[in-house]
Amino acid sequence: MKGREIREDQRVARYVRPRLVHSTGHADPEAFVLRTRDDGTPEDGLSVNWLDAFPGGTRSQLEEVTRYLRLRVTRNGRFAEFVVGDLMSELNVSWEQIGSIKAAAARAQAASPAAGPQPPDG
Amino acid sequence: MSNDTAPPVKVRDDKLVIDERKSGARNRAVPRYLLLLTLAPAAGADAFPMRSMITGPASATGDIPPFFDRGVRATHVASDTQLLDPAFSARAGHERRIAQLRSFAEEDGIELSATSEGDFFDFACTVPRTRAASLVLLDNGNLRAVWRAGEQEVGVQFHGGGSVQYLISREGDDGEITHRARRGTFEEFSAAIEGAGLGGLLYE
Repeated sequence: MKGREIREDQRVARYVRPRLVHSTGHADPEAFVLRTRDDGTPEDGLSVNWLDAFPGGTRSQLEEVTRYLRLRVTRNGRFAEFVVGDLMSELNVSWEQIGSIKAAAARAQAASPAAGPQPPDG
Repeated sequence: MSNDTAPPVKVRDDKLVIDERKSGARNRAVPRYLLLLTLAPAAGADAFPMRSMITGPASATGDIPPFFDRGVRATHVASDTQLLDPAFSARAGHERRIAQLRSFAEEDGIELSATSEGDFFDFACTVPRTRAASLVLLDNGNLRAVWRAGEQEVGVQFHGGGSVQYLISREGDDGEITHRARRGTFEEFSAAIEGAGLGGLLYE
């Protein structure tokens, strides 16, 4: 993974816990709200998983993500999938503003070289 | 079939027994697939879900479905009228969902707020024939209910103490979606729904 950077046409996914999945299958917006850390400081971003860092189709990519995820994934949970460019457009952010995401991914990679682009938080 | 007196259904020697004098079911079997019970755990049956619904075949005296096993006491029997009432069915669905959410909450190490749950049912009961809501459990232990049709949506968090926080998304004549978020009382919330012309989303 060294030297690779995420592109606008690639996808990321965020795991949504079962209690935040509606009966329609939609994720509740609460799943994407920044929270407060245990030390009382607010989160500065949402953790997502870089799907296209892995080969294969979405199913196998999610299986790879699940292997690396620190959260316990259950049958009633869901992954919300996003195209990076769509997120940037919706949130009106630039690459400069999300530089910290790449930095965080690099730190995670350095800490666990076999794990690939593992997110900094679960 | 009256339900304002003692429950007409008892569990005796692992059999489900209906007191015909109280149930008014003399000389007739309870219709198959129509016996709806609200069940509570007896002492020592702490692992049993607080409420469930029997949807399988039933007779006036029948075997207890194996998944109910022992330690169960029946507390309520729905009347035929209630069984045909969408509001009653919606409540049964909500109770099942909340039991599921309570299970998910344990997995996440949080506790479902009793005051939030109470407020949700209070609200649902203030208006007859409330449509079934989609329920989720928030990090703070509160319930959030959502009624949705296409792009139009009413979502409300029950904080307890009669306080709600709501978001109403409404599609205008020009196709534009407008959002209105407020915190207020049940009455203010109901007025906002009516003001937005979205009463049909929530009520039959």
